[in-house]
Amino acid sequence: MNRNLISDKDLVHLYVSGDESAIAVLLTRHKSKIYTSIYLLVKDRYLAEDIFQDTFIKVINTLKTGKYNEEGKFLPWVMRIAHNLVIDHFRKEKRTPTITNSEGFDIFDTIGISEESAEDKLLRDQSHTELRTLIQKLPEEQKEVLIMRHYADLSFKEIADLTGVSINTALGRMRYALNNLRRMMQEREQSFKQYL
Amino acid sequence: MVQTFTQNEMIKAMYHELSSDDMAELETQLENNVEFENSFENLSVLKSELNKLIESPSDETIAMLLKYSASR
Repeated sequence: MNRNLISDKDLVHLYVSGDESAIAVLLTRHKSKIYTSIYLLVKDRYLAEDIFQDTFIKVINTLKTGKYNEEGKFLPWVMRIAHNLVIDHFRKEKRTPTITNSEGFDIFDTIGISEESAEDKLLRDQSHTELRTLIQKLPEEQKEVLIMRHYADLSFKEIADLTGVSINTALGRMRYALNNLRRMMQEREQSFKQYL
Repeated sequence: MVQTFTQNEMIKAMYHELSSDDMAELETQLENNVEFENSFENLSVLKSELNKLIESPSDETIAMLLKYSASR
């Protein structure tokens, strides 16, 4: 059977019973969702890599020692671990997430996309950086729901359970987040046009 | 009775959380209400912009995790 068609639950079972390749499938399936969510919260690629790594070390340890509670789904469980590690990080740093853009030189940006011209790449990077900056400007509760729904791919029900609010509250926060993002994007566009 | 959809339901539709019956009704409303259609289109554009930010951890991190798992 194609491993990509196996459910998370069954892959976890296979892994716990000694099939090492199952964790590779789970990692491949969920790495972008989890990594992007962490990155948007901490705004630093190297730190995001570290937290992603620590998250999966916890996942592996919990699964290998048979302590995994199968009541919940795999992805929300991993996201909860990642979320707690992000909170731990900010507590240790004794600071809260700020709005500032921490983008500096990034070795990952130099990899790939060979057909793109330097100018196109610059524009694309600029537009992505701007969008990331706008996401950081959202109120924390809205940013959290946006990241969990859009990037972590959790359902509104799962987000509601994870954050201790009703589904309607989670949905409302998402609505405000999207509306605020659109408004900020339009404002940026308008102010940009003034300089043309 | 014709159902009037809220923006919350529009968002649920965008994230595939609307039932198939409600989805069919929403599609009818999209066809018959220009303002609603524009609103949905704007949200879809924003969604595709957000998708452009999706990234992955490095291959080294994944390799290290697989090695760690095998050693446990």
